[in-house]
Amino acid sequence: MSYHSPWMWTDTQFGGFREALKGVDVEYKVFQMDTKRKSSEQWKANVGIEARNLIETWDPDLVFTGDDNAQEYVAKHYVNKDIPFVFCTVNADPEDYGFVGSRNITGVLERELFVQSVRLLRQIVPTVRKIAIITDSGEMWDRVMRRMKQSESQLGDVEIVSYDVLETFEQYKQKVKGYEGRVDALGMLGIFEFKDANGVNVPYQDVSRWTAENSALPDFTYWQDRVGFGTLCAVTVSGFAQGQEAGRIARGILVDGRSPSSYPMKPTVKGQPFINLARARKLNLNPKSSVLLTARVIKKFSWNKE
Amino acid sequence: MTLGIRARVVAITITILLVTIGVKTLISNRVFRKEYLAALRSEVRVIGGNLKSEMQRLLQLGMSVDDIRGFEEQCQEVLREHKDIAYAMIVAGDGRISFHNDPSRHGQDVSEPEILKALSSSQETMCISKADGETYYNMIVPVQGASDGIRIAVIVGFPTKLIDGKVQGLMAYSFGVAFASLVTATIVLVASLSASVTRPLSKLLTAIQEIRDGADLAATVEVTSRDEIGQFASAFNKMTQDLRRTTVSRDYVDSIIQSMSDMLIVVAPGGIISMVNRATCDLLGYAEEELVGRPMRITGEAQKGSARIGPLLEESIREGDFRNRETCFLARDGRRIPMLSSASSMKDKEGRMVCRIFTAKDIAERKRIEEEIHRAKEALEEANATLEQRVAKRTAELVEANQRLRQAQTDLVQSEKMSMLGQLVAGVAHEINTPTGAILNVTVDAREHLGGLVRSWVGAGELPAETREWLLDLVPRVLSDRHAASEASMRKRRREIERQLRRKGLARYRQAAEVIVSCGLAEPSLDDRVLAHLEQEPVLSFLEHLSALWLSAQLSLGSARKIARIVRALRFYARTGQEELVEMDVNESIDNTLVILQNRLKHLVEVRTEFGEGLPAVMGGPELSQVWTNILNNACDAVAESRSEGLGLIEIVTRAEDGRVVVAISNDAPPIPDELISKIYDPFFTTKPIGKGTGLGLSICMAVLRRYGGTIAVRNTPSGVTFEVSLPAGASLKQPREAPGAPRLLAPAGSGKGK
Repeated sequence: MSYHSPWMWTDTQFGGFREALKGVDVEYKVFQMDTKRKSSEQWKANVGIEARNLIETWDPDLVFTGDDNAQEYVAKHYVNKDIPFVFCTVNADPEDYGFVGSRNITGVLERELFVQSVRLLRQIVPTVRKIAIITDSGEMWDRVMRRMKQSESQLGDVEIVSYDVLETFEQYKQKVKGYEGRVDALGMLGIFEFKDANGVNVPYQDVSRWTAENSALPDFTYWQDRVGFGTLCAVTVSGFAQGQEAGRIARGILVDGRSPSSYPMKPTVKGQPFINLARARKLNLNPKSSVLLTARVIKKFSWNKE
Repeated sequence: MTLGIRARVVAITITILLVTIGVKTLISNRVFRKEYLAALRSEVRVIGGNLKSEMQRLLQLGMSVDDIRGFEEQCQEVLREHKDIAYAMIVAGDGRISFHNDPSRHGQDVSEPEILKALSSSQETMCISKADGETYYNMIVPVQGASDGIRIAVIVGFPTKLIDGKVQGLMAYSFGVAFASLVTATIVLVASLSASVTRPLSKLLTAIQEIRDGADLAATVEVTSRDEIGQFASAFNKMTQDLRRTTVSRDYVDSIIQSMSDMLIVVAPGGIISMVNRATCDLLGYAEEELVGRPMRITGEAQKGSARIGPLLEESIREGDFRNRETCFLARDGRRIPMLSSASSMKDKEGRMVCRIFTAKDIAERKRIEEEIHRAKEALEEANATLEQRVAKRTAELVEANQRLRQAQTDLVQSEKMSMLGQLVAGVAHEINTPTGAILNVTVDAREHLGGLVRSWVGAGELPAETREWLLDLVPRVLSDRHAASEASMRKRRREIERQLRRKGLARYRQAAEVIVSCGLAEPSLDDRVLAHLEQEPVLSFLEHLSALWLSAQLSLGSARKIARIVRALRFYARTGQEELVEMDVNESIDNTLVILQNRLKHLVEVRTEFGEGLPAVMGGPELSQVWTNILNNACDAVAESRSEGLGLIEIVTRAEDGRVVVAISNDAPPIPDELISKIYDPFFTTKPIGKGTGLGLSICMAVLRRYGGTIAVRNTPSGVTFEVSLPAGASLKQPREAPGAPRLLAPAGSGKGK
C-alpha cells in the first residue's frame, strides 16, 4: 500500500479487497510504504526497493497495490512478468506506468467525482456561482486538475475562477482569506505538502482545521477523512468500493484462472456524499433534510471528538 | 309451450350458475374488503415507519423539529410514490402541523378530534376521520428522539372510498367474467347437448318415421357414442336388423319382382291381368298400364277364327298348374317369342283361387343355338362320310413331300458345302500358288548356284590339299537336314562372328561371317586353321554356293510338302455322297479344315490347337469337315466384327470324355444375346448383313451331327463364346442315326450377340 495504516483510506481499500476474497484461503503480507507522511523521493525509492525485495523473496501468487506511489515504485517494475498485479485507487493514467497492454497487470482507477461534489455543495449552498481551486504542488494534482478542467462544462452556471498551486502553508492561509468576498466557495485538492517556515510539511489535519476555524467560505474536497477534519462536503471515491472491485478481479485471476489482461482498467463510478454538519453550522448553513438524509453526516469536528 | 330436453337442461344449468356466481361474488367482496383494508393498513404502516425513520435520523443529528428544513419534500415523495395515499404530515403533540405534503398547511392545527385523540397515544394507532365530506383512514406513528422533548408523530391517511372503489371494481370485474363464463358455458352446453343428445335423438326419430311411413326396414342410425344415447341407437339398429330378418316389406317384394329377368304375370280369376313385372313389359313391348286390367289372352298366340285367347291360358285353365312348358307369347309388334312357361295358382285359406301366377323365360336365343347345332350336326355327319378318303389322299401327299424334303435337305447341305468350297477356292489357289512360286524361284537360283559351285570346285584344284580335304569333309555337314534359323537370329549371329573375325585380323571378315552362318558352322570350330582356310577366295566362293544350294533345296522341299498337304486336305474336304459312315480321326479332320481355311483365318485370328492325344476314332463322313468349317467361319466373322485392329483368338481343344470325343471351339468375340441363343440353329437365321450369310451354317451342322449321333451346344464364357461338338467314339455306329439330337445349352442363357 502506498500509505500507512491505521488510516481510513488505506484500511477501507484493504477491507474491500479482503471482503471480495472472503471464502478463499489467502495468506496476506501487507507492506505499507508510508509515503503520505514521508514524501521525499529518497524515501519512496527506498521503500520501493524494500517492497520489491519482499515480492522476490516471498514469491506471492498475486500482488495488490493501492494508490499511485505503489505503482510508480513497485508495480511498474513487473510489467509483463509472471506475477499478476491488481491495483486500485490510481489517479494517474495507467499508460504512465506502462500498464496498458501488459499481460499481468490490471486494476481499478480512481477518478475524483468533481461534478458530483460541486452539485452536493450547491444543494447545501444554492447561491454558489464562483469557485476557486487550491492545491499543493504534488505531482499527481496536475492530472487531477486537468480532468477537472475537462469536466467544467458539466457544472452549468458554476464557474471555476482559478486553480492555485501553492507551496507553503502561509501562502495557503493568505489565499484562503484573500478569496473571501471574491468567490463563493473553495475546492480543496492536495493539502499535504504545504511547507512551514522550516520547510517541513504541515500535517494536512492542521491545514484542514485552520481552514474550518478561519475560512468563511464553504468548501468541498474528494476525500472522506478530510470532511471529518473540517471540509464542508465531499462526494468521495469509496476506498472500500475500489478495494472490493480490485478483490473481485483478484478472485477471477486466482480462483477462476482468468488472465489479468482480460479485465479492462476502469474507475468505479459510485460515490458517497459526506457533509460536515458542524462546519455547516459554523457557516450558518442549514442543509435541507433531503440532503442530510442522502449523505453521511458528520456531526462534529474530529478534534472535538472524545 | 313444451320445452325440449336441451332448453330445459340449459335453463336449469344457467339458473344454478347464476345462483353460484351471485353467492360467490358476495362472499368474495366481503373477503376482499377485509383483506384489502389489512393490506392498506400494512402499507401505510410501512410508509409511516419510513417517514418516522427519516425524521428520527434528522433529530439524531441534534436538530430540533424547527431546525429541520424541507421535510415536506419527503412527505410529497410519499404521495408521488403511493397514489392511494391522500396525505402525509408531521404533527406535534398539540396538533400543530410541522410538515405537510401541502406546504400551505404548515403551522396549521389538526382539527379532527379522532386524530387529536390518537396523538395522545405512544403506540401506532389507526383511526377514521372526516374532513371536507370525505372519510379517511389515518395511521398515526409516534416519533421519538426529539432533542427538545416535543412529542411529534407521523400521520399518513388514505380515503375510505378507495376501498369502496376497489370493491366496486372487483364486483364489476367479477360480474363481467361471470357473464362471459356464463355465455361460454351456455354455448358449450348447447353445442354439447346438440351433438350428444338432441341430434342423435332427432336422427333416431327420423329413422323411426321412415320405418313407419315407408316400411324401410333397412333404415339404421349411426352410433357415435357409448353413452345412453349410443346404447339407444345400437338397440334401435339391432331392432331394425331383427325386423329385416323376420319381416319382408312390400317395397322389398316389389323390388324383387321388378328385378326378375323372367316374365311374371298375375291373373285374377276372371282372366284379367292384375300385375306384370318390368321384364314382361320389356319382352312383349307393352307399357304396364297397357297390360294391367286387360285379359290375359292378349299375350297369347292368335287362334284362327276365334277370339284372341292364347293356348297358354286355355291350357292353364284346363290343366291347372304346370312347369317348364315351351310355348309362344305374342309381342305387341306381332313377334312370336318362344318361352319356357310355368303356371301356379295362389289360393286363400278356404282353398279358393285368389289368382294365377305365370312366369316365363325367353328361350329365343336357346332355340336359335339349338337350330344351329342341329344344322352343324347334319354337316358333320356328311363330312364324316368322306373323311377317310381325304386322310388317305393327304397322307400320300405328305409322304411325297417328306421325300422331296429329305432330298432337298441333302441337296441343300451339298449346295452349302459347294458354296463354301467355291468361296475357299480362291484362298486355296493362293495357298498353292505361293509355294509353287517359291519352288520356281529357288529352282532358278539353284541352277545358278550349281554352276557357281562347279566353277568354284574347279578353282579349288589350286588349293592346298589340307584345305580341299577340309572342304570335302565340310560338304555333308552343310547339306545335312538341319533346321534353318530365323532371319533375325542369323543376322545377330552374323554380326557377332564379324566382330570376332575382325578382331582376329581376317581380311574378308564380312564374307567369311556370312559363309559361316549360312553353312551352320559352329563357333568353337573357328580356330586359326579354319580361319586360314576361310582367307582363301575359292573356299569362300565354294561355301557360298553350297549353302545357297542347301537353302534352295530346303525351301523347295517345304513348299512341295505344303502343296501336298493342301491337296490332301482338298481331297478329304471334297468327298461327297457317302452314305456309309467310316472311322475318322477328328484331329486330322480339324487340321485339314484349318489348312483349307488358312488363307482366311491368318489375317483375322490366331488359331491355337490343343489336340488330345490317342483320341478314339469317330464314325462320320466327309460332311464333318463342313461342321468345322461352318463353326470356324462363324467364329472368324464374329471376331472380325468385334475388333477394329489386331488378331482375334480361336482355341480348339479336343478330348475324349465318357465314350465320346468332344471338340470345343472357343473364340474371344462378345457373347451371344440371350434372346438369340435359342434361334441360332434355325434355318436361314443370321445376324450377318444381307448377302453375306445364308443362315444355314449351324442348321446344317446340327443336321450333319444328328446323322452321326453327335450333338452341338453353345455357351457364353467370361472370355467369349464356346461351341462344343460331341461325337460318339468307336465303330459301333455304322448307319446314320434317325433320332434327332436336340442341341444342348451348356450355360444358362447369357448375354452375347452375333452368330
